[in-house]
This record gives sequence, C-alpha cells and structure tokens, in this order.
Amino acid sequence: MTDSAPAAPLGRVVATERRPNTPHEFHFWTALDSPVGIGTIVRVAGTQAVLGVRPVIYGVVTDGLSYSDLATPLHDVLGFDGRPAGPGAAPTHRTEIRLYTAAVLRHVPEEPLQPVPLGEVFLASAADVSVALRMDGYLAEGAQTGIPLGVYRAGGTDAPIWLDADFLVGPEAAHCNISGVSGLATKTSAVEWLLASIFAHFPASKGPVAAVCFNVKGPDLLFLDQPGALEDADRAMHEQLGVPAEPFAAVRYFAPLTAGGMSLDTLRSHEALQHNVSPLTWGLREVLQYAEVLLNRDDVDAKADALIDFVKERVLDQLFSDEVLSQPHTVSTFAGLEAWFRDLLRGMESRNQDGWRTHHVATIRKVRNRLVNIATRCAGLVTDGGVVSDLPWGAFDDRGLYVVDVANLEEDAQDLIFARVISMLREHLERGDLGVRQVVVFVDELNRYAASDGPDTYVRRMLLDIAERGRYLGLVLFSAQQFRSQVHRRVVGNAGTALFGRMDADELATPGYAVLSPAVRTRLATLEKGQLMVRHPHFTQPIFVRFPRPAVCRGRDGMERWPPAAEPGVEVALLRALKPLDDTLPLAWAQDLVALHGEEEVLRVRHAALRERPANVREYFQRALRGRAPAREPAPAATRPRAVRRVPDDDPYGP
Amino acid sequence: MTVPAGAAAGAAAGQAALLAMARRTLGAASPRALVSGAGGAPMEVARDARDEARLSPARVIEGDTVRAHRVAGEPDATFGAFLDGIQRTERVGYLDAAPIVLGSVAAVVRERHEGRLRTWGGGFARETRVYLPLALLPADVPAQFEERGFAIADTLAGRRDRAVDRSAGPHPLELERAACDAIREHRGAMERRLADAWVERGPGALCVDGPLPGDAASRSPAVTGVVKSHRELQVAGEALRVVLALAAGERSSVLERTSATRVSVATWYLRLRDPAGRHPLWGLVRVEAAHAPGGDGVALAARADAVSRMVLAESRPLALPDSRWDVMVYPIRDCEEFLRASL
Repeated sequence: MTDSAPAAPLGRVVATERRPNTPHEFHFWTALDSPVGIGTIVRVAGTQAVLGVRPVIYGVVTDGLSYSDLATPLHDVLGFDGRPAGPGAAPTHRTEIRLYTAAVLRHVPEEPLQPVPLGEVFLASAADVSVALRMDGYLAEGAQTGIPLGVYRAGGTDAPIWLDADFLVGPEAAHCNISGVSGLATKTSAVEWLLASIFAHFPASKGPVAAVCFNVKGPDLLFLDQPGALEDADRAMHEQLGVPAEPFAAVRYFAPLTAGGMSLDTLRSHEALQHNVSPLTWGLREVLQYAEVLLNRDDVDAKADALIDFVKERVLDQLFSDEVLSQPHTVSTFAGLEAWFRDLLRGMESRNQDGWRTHHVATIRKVRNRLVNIATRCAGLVTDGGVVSDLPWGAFDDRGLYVVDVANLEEDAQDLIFARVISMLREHLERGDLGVRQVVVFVDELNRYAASDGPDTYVRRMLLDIAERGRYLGLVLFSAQQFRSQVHRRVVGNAGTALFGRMDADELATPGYAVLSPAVRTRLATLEKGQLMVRHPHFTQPIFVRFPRPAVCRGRDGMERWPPAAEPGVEVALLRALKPLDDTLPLAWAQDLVALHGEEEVLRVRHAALRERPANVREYFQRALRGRAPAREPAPAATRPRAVRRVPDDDPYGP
Repeated sequence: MTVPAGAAAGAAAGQAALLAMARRTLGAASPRALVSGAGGAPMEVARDARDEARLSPARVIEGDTVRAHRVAGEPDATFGAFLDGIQRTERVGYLDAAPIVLGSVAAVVRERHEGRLRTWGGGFARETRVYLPLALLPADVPAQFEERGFAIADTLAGRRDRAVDRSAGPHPLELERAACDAIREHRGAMERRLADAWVERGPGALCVDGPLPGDAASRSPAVTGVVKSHRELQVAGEALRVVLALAAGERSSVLERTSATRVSVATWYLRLRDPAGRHPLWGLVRVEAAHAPGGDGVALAARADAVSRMVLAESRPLALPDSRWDVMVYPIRDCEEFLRASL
C-alpha cells in the first residue's frame, strides 16, 4: 500500500443556506483541471477543533455540477450572435465552476456527529482510503481478515480495496451478489477473480474453504484449471493485491452423461482434459430424496405424497414382499421400481382391487408414471441402473474448486442437481464432515432460479434458505444475474456484499437504484470491463474499483484450444468409463464385447461394474455376459457435433 | 481593521460579522447610541442620486474638430491584466447626530493567463475602517472601536476648513455624504497603489475600470482606462452629436482631459456595440490613455486606434448578466465578482 498524499488541497468545502452541508453530505468546488470525478474519495480537513480534536471527514463524490456566470443560455447565444461557429474565440474564458457533492464515508472522530465543516479538500491517499472505508479495522495486526477485491484508482491514488472475510464468507454477514448486463459486466470474471482472491487470502484461522460452481451456460467455467492470457497491467494488479497470477490448482469437474450414456454431457470433453472430469450420476435413492423438486405440487397431492413416502421408507433398498406381489422385490434402481409397480398393479388387477394399503389404484398409477418418468426427463443424470458418481462428500479439499456442469441439461435436471448438491452441502456442513468449514456456492442466472415474481419452487426456497441462514453453517452464496430487480428481494437483500458491473439503463430506472445519485447511475451504465461498483457492510457508500482479468483460461479460448470431442462410439465410451478401474483395457476388447452382445447389454454391465467396482474388470464382464445371446447387427454409432455458443472475439473478459 | 490581502474566500460572512461587532461596540459605547438595524437604502445609492449630469468639453488634440473614425484593423486582445475596485458602506448607527459608518474597500488586479483570470501576485487589497466624525464624539467612543481592533478614520478629515460647532454641527446627511466621500477616496487610493505597482513591475498592458488612477498610471503607456459612466461628458454641441452618432467599431477624435489635480490624459469615445433601437449612450465607453504632449497627429491617431482595438477585443464574451454589459468588458466583471466575494 502506497501513501503518496498530495500536499496541496484540490478543493474547498462550500455551504450555503440553499445548499447546506449535513453530517452525511457535503459540497466542494475544485479547479477546472482537478482530477476529481464521480466515485473519487476525498478527505476534508476541518479547521475548527471540536472537543480539542480537528475533525477529518472522508467522502466519496456522488454528483457534480458545472455552470458559468451566465444567467441564461440566451446570453451565450447573444454573445455569439446566434452562430455557434463564430465570431472566433473570445480572449477570456467565462468563469465556470466545478461543484461536487460528496457522500460522507466516515467522520474521525465519530462523535459528536456534526455537519461537515468548511475546510480544504484533499484527494484521498491510499492510507486515507483505508480509513475512509474502515478497512483499517480488519487489516490491522491481529485481525487480518482482508480479502482483496480490486484497486481504487483516482487522481494518482492507487489503493487496494479489501473486503472483510467475516462479512463476505461469514459469520458476521455473508454472500455476494453481482449484477450487470451480459457480456459487458464481466460478472463471471469477477467471481473467478474473487474466488482466487479468497483462496489466496482467506485466513487460516477460519479453517479450510472450498467452492462449488454451477456452470449454467456454455463453457464459462470449464477451463478454470488452465492458464489464461494476461496483460502486464493484469499481472501487476495480481501482484499488488497478493493473488498469484495462476489458474486454480485444484479443480474437479462433474457432468452428467449424455442421454445416450456414451460420454459426459459437457463441452470439456477434450481427451487432454479428462483427468479431473468425473461423471455426475445418481440412482433412485439419491433422486427420490428430492423427488419434490421434479414433481409438480399441483399434480402430486397429499395422497400421492403419502405413496411416495411409503416407497421411500418401506420399499427402497430393502426386501419387500406382499401378497399382491408375485415375488419379493428389492428396489434400488429405477428399473427395479418400474418392475415393482408393474407387479403391484398386475396383482391388483388380478384380484380386482381398487386399492392397496389405503392407496387407490389411480394414485398408484399416477405416482408410477411420475417417478419412472424422472429417469427419462433427467436422462444422463439419473441412471436406470443405479450407478452413483457424486461429488466427494466428506472429502472436500481446502481451496478445492468443484465445478458442476449443468449447461446442457434440461431445466428439471438442473433443478434436481441444484437441490441435491446444495442440500448435501448443507447437511455435511451441519455435521461438520464435509472436509472444509466453508463452501462458496456460485450460482449464475439468479433471475431464473430465484425470480422475484416466479413460482415458489424448491430451488428458490433453498436459495432463500442459504441466503438467510447459510452464513451460520459456512454455506456462502455467490450469485449473479443480469437484473437484480427481478431477483427475490430476500436473496439479494441478504447478500452482505453486492457488486455491480455495467448496468442496463432500464434496470437502473427501477426503484432499487433510487438511493444512487443520477451521476452514479450514469457511471454504472458506462462502466468499462474490469470495473465494478461495490457495496460492503464496512463501506457506507458504494465504491468503484478495478479488478484484473482472472488468470484462468476464458471459456472461448479454452474451446478453441481444446475443442470438444465428438461423442464417441460405445467402444471408446466403454473404455473411458472403465479407465479408472482398469486402464489397460484395449479397444479391441471393447469392440469384441459390443459385437458379440450389443450396445444395450454391454452398457448395462458397464453400469453394474461402475457400481460394484470389481477388481478384475475383464472377468466381471465375462461372467456377467456369459450365456447372453449374441447381439444382432449393431447400429453404427452416431456422432454429433456439439453446439458451441458464439461469443464476441474481442471480449477480453468473455467467458 | 485591515484584512490581509488574499483572504478573500468567505469574506462576505466576515463582513457581516464585522458590522455586527461594530454595532455592538457602538451600543456599548453610549446609552444614547442609536444602533442601525438591517435594511434601509444602501448609502452609495443615496449619495449617487444627488450627482448631476454635466458637460465638460475637453480640448480636441486629434485634428481640429471631433469626428468619427473607423477603428482600423482587427481587435487585438493584448491586455494582460485588469484592475477594478469596490467599496461597501454600512451604517453602524448614530450617536446623537453623528453617523458612524463602516466602510470596506477592496481592489484587485486580475491577470489573464491562457484565457483564464487569476489574481496577480500582490494584486489584491482589502481594508475595513470605521468612519466617525471625531470632533463630534466623546473621545472614548473611537477608543472603544480601536480596542475591538477596528481601524478608525475621521469622517471630517480633509474638511478642517469647516468649523465644527459641537452644539450645532453639520447636517447628519452631510456627514454621511462625507463618510461616503472618504470611503471613495480610500478606494481610489487603493486602486492607485495597485496601478502604481503594476506600472512598476507588471508585465504587459493593464486595463482599468474607470479613469486612469493616479499620476503613474496616467503617464504609463501600459495602462488604459475604460470609463462606462457618462454622467460627465467631455464633449458638447456638435461634438456631442458626433459622439452620440458613433457606429459600432468607431471612435471619436482624441481629446485632452485636463484637471488641476491630476496629470492630463488623452481620451476619446469608442462605440463597442451597435446602439440601434437603444439609448444613444448604449455601448459607448470613454477610453483614457497616457498623453505624450508634442507628439504628431499621425502617431496620436495610431495610438488611439491601437488602444481602441485592444478595448474592442474585450467586447466578448458578453459581460452578461451584468446590467451594464453593453459597456463593461468581461474581465472587469470578473474583477467585480471577485471583489464582491471578498467583501
């Protein structure tokens, strides 16, 4: 931190009866060539001691006026004979004024709180900025909970801006929400940078921290472990803020399978990047726990709910027998559940029964239809065979970054993943057995998941719950959206820290921004990439900061460097899936299996092998396929190119 | 009370405080004191209303008669600085029939640098005095003002020829007028000091609001006076008709303005703006410049044209919203604004 306070004042406080100063606002004028602008932090040196102390007041410029000594524009018209181009330059420039309004950031001393006195106005030095924003409290020796957000720059002052980890990650306050227009607000870059900053500076005394990011669109977050191109200015800012200009060291990716089950449904499918990509697949048990996420509450009434509870408690994963059933069932997969329902309904029909254990046959048919349909609606995520591949619950790494790619999934599947992952995080954090004490969850497109005027969905209730109670658990929500006004008030309202990138003018016209001056709103509407306005509990006014481009590979660059692989044939997919169990399996072995037994049969055994994880894969397949009929002529494996969302080529902060 | 030069900002509030302090001092000086309150006509206005317009024809020194001359050449903005002064007169109150007046004067030289005006180093002065007719007051009254830090001045100074009868005394309004005259003299002296300083060490040409102040300025070719007021006209008869008929960009023949108390100067009328549809004196100024006796007529005309070009160059920007914008050059308005802010 440098302190190069200019000795000369750049302005003087003025107050008139019509434009008085107050404890929260003051006015000052400057020379015409002053470097002051909207967002500049200034220091006022009071001249009159109060209780023996000369007050010092810090403020941030929120508005500015400029006018000349003309009483009416008509006078200027007269002066130029009505011709803007003539008659040549006047030898004397008109007197004009730059009059600024500043909102008070801090009074020193804090008491007695008085109107801002007349006095000289100085450009705030780096040390002044620290005091003005109360950062001195948590950057002091013994506290050290600062998380660098960016750099405040104005008039030659170059001051790091730190957030307080106690108020960003908890427990005093928590959560961070970022708003801005798509493509210009650099929301994703800001979150990547902030996560890197947290990982670099989060105090060891607060325990390990990890992050779970949901990649909801394109390749935004799919190359966080790869270095990105940085300019010298970015590197300098990284160094200034003490954040290594390196990609994230420990990133793991999770993605469901494609509907065909051949490969993972993610744009990070290049073979060179598969070492840290894992499938995200859940079985019946995992899904039934969150069935209500997928079921329409208007459709599933109390009777249906009761039957679902019965299945969960009495049928699932246990031997279940009943006189109506033709045989005992142990249901652990969707296929098993379908068989159980089929057997039950057939038995009821044969006995001409309308009900079974208080459940009407219509209810049973409806529940069967809804539950079994889940496997279809969430194909790729929900495995019919019950293979579970999940996040490493209980073994989260400190500074680990876990990216769940849901970009290509249907809305239902996305909701299911949000619901389960966040619920699991919560449960493990409550029990203290997640492996880390704090988890930052990043959710983009909050407009959709927690809309203010949308339906009361399970996901929205869950986000509200995190926003309101997550900080006590160490579950921290970093969220982003284009239109803050369209997100549920309690979600954004509970975010202790709010970041704003370039904003849409219509959005700025909504009531939520009325507290900002027109000048600040204008600046928000014209922010450059890499600039943010930040609100933080310690900052009594919004502050503008710059942040560096994160040192990770942008999604677009990653897609060019590691283009997604075409969906492989079943043989290649089989080998890829079994590679963690046995990396010596040759392609010819897989080709033989598929040729002999067909794709469907081989994939069935693959699911089982992944579930049971046999020591000898070849032998397992041989035993499982023994006696099975050879397959008919296999259909040629279809390959389809993956759709890649186009982004502007000249966007340095692009995804 | 002399206020340090350069302490202009916030002086308006200071002036009010000084007046309030002066009134408290008078109230404490004598139970017979009648302390003035706020309001009432400004003293300068009351005094100015008693002035009378008059004709004082001056000798023509460019040719034989007053003629109109088109100012040749383009306007030439070579004035480097501008000088103006102001005064403020406030009634503190009366003790019996003796008025006590608070007079503040200020003057400034504003230097032009890249089109912007700024105060020339050492070119600002401001002083406040309490004016009392000492001969009519008990000795302890001025003493009390002095104790409070006020500089005091005798309203009757320079009027010793008048016998002051403490029992009868002059008319109170006559004493007020005397105070105004004293304050105006004080302002004139301050302007002279600044003009002298400029003549001594100022870089470039100085434009003064009003007649040339003092002998040094009247002899210096670097100083030009621009007179806006025409209560006293230097022409009469046919010459007056010529002057009133001057078109925009025309000047009159040069005259010689003489006085028993000051150095003779060259002067001429100059029309800054077209008066069509307005008063015949609209846009008309009288220019004063140093007069070097013995010069030839060609040089005199060339000098008058050169100075006129400099004045015409200052006709923009308009000095609006000042009501005298037709005759006021903008930098002089800037000086006035500066001085108003300082008093």
